[in-house]
Formats: sequence, C-alpha cells, structure tokens
Amino acid sequence: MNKTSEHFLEIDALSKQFAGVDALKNVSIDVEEGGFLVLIGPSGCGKSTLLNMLAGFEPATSGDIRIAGRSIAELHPSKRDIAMVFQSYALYPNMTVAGNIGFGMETRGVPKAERLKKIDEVAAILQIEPLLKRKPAQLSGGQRQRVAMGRALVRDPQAFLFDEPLSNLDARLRVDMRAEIKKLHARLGTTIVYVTHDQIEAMTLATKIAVLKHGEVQQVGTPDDIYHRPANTFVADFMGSPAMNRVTGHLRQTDNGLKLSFGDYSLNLFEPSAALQERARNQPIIDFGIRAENINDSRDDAMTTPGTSTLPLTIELVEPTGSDTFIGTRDGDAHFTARVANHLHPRTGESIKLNFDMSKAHFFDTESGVRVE
Amino acid sequence: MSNTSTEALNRSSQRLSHGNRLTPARILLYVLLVLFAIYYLLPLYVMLVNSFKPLEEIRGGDMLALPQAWTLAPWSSAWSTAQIGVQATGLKPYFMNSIAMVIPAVLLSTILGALNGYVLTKWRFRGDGVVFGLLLLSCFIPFQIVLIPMARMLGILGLAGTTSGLVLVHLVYGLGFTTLFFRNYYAAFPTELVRAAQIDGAGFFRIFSRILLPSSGPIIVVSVIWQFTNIWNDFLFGASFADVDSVPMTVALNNLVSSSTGVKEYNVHFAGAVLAALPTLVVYVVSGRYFVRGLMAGAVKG
Repeated sequence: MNKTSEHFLEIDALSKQFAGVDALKNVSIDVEEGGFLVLIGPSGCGKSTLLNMLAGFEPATSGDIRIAGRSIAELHPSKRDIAMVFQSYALYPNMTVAGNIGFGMETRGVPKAERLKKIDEVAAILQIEPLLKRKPAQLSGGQRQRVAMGRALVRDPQAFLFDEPLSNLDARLRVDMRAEIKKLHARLGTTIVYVTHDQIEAMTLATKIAVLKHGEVQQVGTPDDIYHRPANTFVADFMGSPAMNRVTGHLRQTDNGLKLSFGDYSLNLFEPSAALQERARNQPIIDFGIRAENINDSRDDAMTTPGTSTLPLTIELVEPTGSDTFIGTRDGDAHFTARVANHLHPRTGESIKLNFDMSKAHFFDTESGVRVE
Repeated sequence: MSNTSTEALNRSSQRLSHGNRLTPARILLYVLLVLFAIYYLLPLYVMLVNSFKPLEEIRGGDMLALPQAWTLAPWSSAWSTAQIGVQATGLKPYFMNSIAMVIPAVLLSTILGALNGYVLTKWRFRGDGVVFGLLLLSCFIPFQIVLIPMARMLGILGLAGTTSGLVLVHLVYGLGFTTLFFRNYYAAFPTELVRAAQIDGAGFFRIFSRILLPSSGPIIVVSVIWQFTNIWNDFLFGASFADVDSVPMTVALNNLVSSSTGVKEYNVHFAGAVLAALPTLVVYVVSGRYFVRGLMAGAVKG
C-alpha cells in the first residue's frame, strides 16, 4: 500500500465544544482506503458527534478532516462526497422507495433515464426490486434498512457513514444485516465509518476500531489489538463478553519465579516481561486481568501448557449458553468467570480446579489504568 | 407517523365497541348526550325554520313551529335586496368582500407560519427561542390595544379602508398562532430526515417543499380552519378598518339587523345569519375530522 491510501480518511486533532463543554478532545484517527472504521464507546462518549462532524452537520471547534488529502471540514454535507445511513433510516415518508433512492440524483439534475438505471442497479444489489414502488410505511424494518443503504449506495461516494444502523432491528435480523454489510463492504471496497455501541458488531465488521470515552480516544487498533492488547482498563472492560476478569494483586519475586498473589491465592507468571519484573521490585501492586476463555476447567485441559497456573475455587453460578458454559466463582475477593466445556456439567457449590493461562494475562497500572507489558 | 397512531386508535375503539353491552349507565350516557345535542342544535333549528316563514307567522308567536307556508323569499331578500345601512344591496357584495379578504389572509398566514415553524425547529439560530416567545406573545395581545396604532400604520402604508389592509391586519394577528402550530408539529418531525436531504443536496426551500410540506397535511388543516374561522368571524377589525367597498360579512350582518327603517324582518335576519355562518360550517364539515387529529399530533409530540 502506498502512503496516500493508508491515510485515506484523516481525522486530524479534531475538537468540539458545546457551550464550553468538551464533546471531543483532540481526536486523531486515520483510516486506510477501503477500510472499515468502527467508533465505539458508551453513550455520550462523542462517537455520534464525531460522525456528525464527518458528515458536516456539526462544525468543528478546531482540527481538520481530510479525504484523499482534500480538506472537507468546511464543506457543506452535500459537497463532501459522503453518504450516510441513519439510525432511524430517515426515509422520506412521502416518496416511494425508488423516489427515496433517486432523490439525491434528482436534486443534482441527473436525467430521469439515467436515474432509473442507477436505481435499478442498486435495487438489484440489495435485492429490493419488488419494493421500488412502495412507500416506507409499507416496509418492514429490514427492508427499510436496505432502502436506506440503497440511498447511500447509489451515490457511489468516497466514504459511507453508518450511525448505529442495526440498533432498531430485532436480534435475528441484526445478525443477518451485519453479515450483509460485511459482504457489501467486501464487494464495494468503499471506506466506511460506522458508529455502534455493540462490541460484537465492532469486532466482526471493523478493520480498525476506535474506542472513545468522554470525547477522548482510548485506543485505536485492529480488532485483535483491541481485544488481545487493550491499552487500558476501560478498553479491557468495555470490549469482550463476558467482561474481562480483573483483580488487584501483588507481584512478588520468589525462588520459583515471579508470582502474583491476591487474597489467599497466588498465580505463577512464566517468562514475565522486563516491565513486570521491574514493577515487582518498585511498585508491586498491580491490576491483573484475564478473559473467561483463558480460564479452563483442569479436567478439560488435555495438555497443561507451561504458561498455566492452577487455582482451586468454588462454583457460585453456572450459566449454560449452549455451546459453552460460563461459571462464576467466588472465594473471598477472588471472583472469576471461566468458560468451560458443556460436557463437564459443572454444578453450583462444587469445588473446581481452574487453569489460568498466564501467557494471556493482562496487567494494568492500578492508578492510571494504563497497560503494563 | 400519524397514520399508524390513528390506525391504532381505530383498532382499539373497535375492540371497545365489540365488548360493550347496553348497561343502564350507558343508556343514561346516551340520553344525556342526546339532550345536550338538542340543546346545542336548538338555536340552529330556530334560525332555520324561521328563515323559511313569512313574517306574519313569526309575529304569530310560535318560534319553534315548522313553517305553514314555506317561502324562500327571506333568503333571496337577505342575499340580494335587503337594506344594508343605507343601500338595498343585500349581503351578496359583502360576502364577496369577506371572501376576497379571508382567502389571501388564510393562505399567507399559513404559508408564513409553516416557514417560521420550519426555521425555528430545523434551522435553529442564536436567539430563536426569544423570537418564538415574542411571536407567541402576539397571541395574547387583546385586539383593542392595537386598534389605534394599527389604524395609523394602515394610513401610513396607504392601506386604510382597503381589503388589502384587512388582509395585512389578519395576517399579522394570525402569524403567532400559525407559527405555534407549525413549530410544535415540526419539532416532532425527525431532524434526521432534514439531514438526509441535506446530504442528498437539497437546499432550504427544496427540503421544505419536498420533505416537510408533504407530511404537514393535518397541521395545515388545523391552521386553515383556525385562521378561516377567526378571520371570517372577526367583527372588530372589520368594523374599525373597513371602508364602504371592503366591509366584511359580519359587519354587514350587523348593519342588516340594526337597520332602523321600517319593520324588523326577522325571517330575513335569520336567513342572513345562516348565510354568514355557512362558509365556516362548510370548512368544518369538509376538513373537520383532520382538525382534532392535527391538534393532537402537535400537542402530544410538541
């Protein structure tokens, strides 16, 4: 990839203040050409504000937005060569599906014959040909979603903006449409910026995820980065279901190597990084985190890998999900959720030996929450 | 938007009527309703039956009796020959004056109110709340206060005594109400639609005419009925600002009834009063069912 395509859509030190309150603070994110950027964060984190600024509905207080090297920050929404799919779909209720898809071309004075041809093309891609003569009120949620995408598609823009497009659909349809959006992106190769608060959407769709909180970027990275190397405790807690297990412990150098202890328990760290050894000497209190899938029932661990450390715990809660069973344990301060195989049939109150895969452990500074590695 | 809610209403009312028996409470309710209906319809009945009677029958005393000798003479007299003030022209020219006043006044105040509502909700600007507040205030200014300043204004503008002058007065007075109607209606109109249209390249007026107006049916009806009724029924402005050739129907009706020469022709007065009330009645019958719907939509969502 050459340099321009790696920085196709550039959000450069963007800030936004509403009546003196910072909605966005110095946000910088780059997206490669054909990339799929997902903006995620809790309500009020600024992700929708950022999208509205990309679309041109909100002026920036400072900073710049560039597409293919051209600044668009001062341009009217219609001049930015972007298309948007809204959360409510925002279909014009008085127009037919064809009218909705063709309205943009109509305002730009595209001749009718050409308009109809493009509408048919887009309708074929989205398989909504039979609906073209209907009004939005006569469509189901999924159909409306397709029409809204059709209206964006027909413009053949430089970038698509999606504002929580699936949040109004029922669970089943949401999964289907998610897959369709992914296929569509693969087919068109157009750059997409997508806002959601659903971490599964973020993980499945994105080539790049930006996690926001209080108007600040917490981490930008690939889904793998975000999941496996969260930059701080906020990202670690926000991404992943069930949430990452976290406990504050104490690092200790022993004859058998570095250990992490909390309450009555201690776990062995194999091949600890230099940073952790340094912490053990100077600042031994640390936040330890591990995901549920990295804690396994010892009966099920066919080969106990060298990175594994075992704790005996008591089962407090059993949550079967079909494919896996999640068990919650509690002994004093040590509260962990582990993913175990179904066939082991764990029972509440049972004692269990859990293997912690410490090669997948995460450590964070207790004060700042920043990752230590 | 409003379609689905009315469908839901219809469905629930159907369900209600299915489950209902004729209980004593319900019978009492119907009896009361019929009594009130009679009470309210009685004046109209009196006006109608007496407008079809010769004058002698009315003098005979029984106001509630049906005419013994039906006649259309009072109607034609009221319309074209009755003495109005000093001239025997009937109400016809004044009816036309009112039409010439009410149609432009209603249309202009509705269109401007819609534009105001559009700007105040979708093109917010610094101080828009204050502007709206001041417009609302105009709804509460008593007519009497503005009579003399308004007369002076009309004089300066050269519109004194003209139909255009009356149109202006009613336009200014109606704008507060129509702005209120449309602002509340458009406040519930999804802003995302306006944004989508902006991305589609539509400008200020195209968004208004293609996106908002087609969805404004109920509130346009509300505005038209409200404005038509108020302007048509207005007496004070008509009496204060109109000249001989711009006197509206209401003032002419008063002149007809209070003419001091000769005998009081009650049957002609009744016919004239019905004629004066007819246009508002027609507007209600034609579009009344949208009226409540539109008011509700604005009120609940606004």
